[in-house]
Amino acid sequence: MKIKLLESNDGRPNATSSRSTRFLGICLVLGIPVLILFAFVFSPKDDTMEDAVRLLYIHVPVAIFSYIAFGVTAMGSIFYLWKQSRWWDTTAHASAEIGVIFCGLTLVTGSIWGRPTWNTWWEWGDVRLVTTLVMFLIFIGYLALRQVPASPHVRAKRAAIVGIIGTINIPIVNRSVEWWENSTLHQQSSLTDGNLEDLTLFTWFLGTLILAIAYVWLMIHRFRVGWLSTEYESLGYGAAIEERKAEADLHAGTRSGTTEEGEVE
Amino acid sequence: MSESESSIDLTPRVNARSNLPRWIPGLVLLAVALTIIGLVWFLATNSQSFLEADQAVAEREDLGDKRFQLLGSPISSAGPDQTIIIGEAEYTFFTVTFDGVLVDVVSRGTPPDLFDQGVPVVLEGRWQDGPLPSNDYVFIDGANDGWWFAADRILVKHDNDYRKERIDDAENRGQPDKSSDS
Repeated sequence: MKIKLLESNDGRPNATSSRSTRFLGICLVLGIPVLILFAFVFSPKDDTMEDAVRLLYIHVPVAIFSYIAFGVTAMGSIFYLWKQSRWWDTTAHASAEIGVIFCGLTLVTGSIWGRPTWNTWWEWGDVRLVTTLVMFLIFIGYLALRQVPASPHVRAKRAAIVGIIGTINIPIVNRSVEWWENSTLHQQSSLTDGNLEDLTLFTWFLGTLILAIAYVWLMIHRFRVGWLSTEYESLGYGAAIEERKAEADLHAGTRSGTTEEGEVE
Repeated sequence: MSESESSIDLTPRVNARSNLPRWIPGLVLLAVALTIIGLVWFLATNSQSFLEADQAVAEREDLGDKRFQLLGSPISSAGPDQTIIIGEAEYTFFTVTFDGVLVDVVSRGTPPDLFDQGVPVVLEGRWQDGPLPSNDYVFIDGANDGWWFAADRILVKHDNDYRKERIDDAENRGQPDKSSDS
């Protein structure tokens, strides 16, 4: 019965892929080798940092898309509290998971960048580094909270509150290099200052485009997984209700038979 | 009670997952709240952690032998004649500047790869006055005012300029204009 309900109209089981996600996937498969070529072959070394500059093409895009992902989580959370729609809760959850992965990658690539550039893997007193770590931990907490047993609505409401609160940190992380310039080794934005040019700028743009496609691709798949999981969960509730009804009918029938028997006796 | 009736389990079913303590959501929310409070506290107390070289000179008497982080730009790259081995330790002698104020530095160990003229550095250490580890050393174009900064860690604060023709904003960053020298 459960499998039957999870089938689509044409008899095939519901899946997370579609024509659009396959197209995005093909774009990624083709785009990633092109990005690698530009990042490692065509784009020049930096005069000072030499090859370490190539981390720019992955570190900055994953950082940007971690902000976007957590921003989408906040938007989904706000709309869930407003509309009480499962669609928004599933969107917020999916985006938070991807955001945590991207934020983790930001921390790892930043640390790899830091060793040859700053002469340290990590600085506990650094404002940019610590605020980014806090953002990562808050959304780990968000995902942990979603695992706490509760009714779907209560779970979504709790998560939405944390999702909104956690997003307050995004502008702090982003602007920390400006607001506390003397408390961070992290440089200010190269892009807004116009300090990227030619192939370095193009490769950075390509990396951002690839990450954008990756985010959308992951988002659609994770959303559909989340949606199907919830469907399956409600299917379980439905089946349990049917089961209890059947038991109740059986129980009522048995009691009725007993009474009749009693009356006969 | 009939046999068939007694075979039905009428006790309410309890979801095994719901046996987890009810205080867990509260704990997670508390952890998030404490994290945010900790972040605010960190930001409030940690601002202005690097003392620019000119500030460090101005506050030299107040700082005493307190350990702090000093921000400045080397006026020259570290040449071989600036590294001296005294006993078993290696010391590098150089001068940094910020807003035209010079600070002589004696750093224990080898400077990082990106240590270069005009590239800002954050030095961890404390003020010292009196004789240098190498008594006869004279800082070329340095302050040579009897005070020196004893550093045991050098961090590089790299700028955000990746253009071929770098136009170092020497005035804003308080560093010598490297592009004009090279």
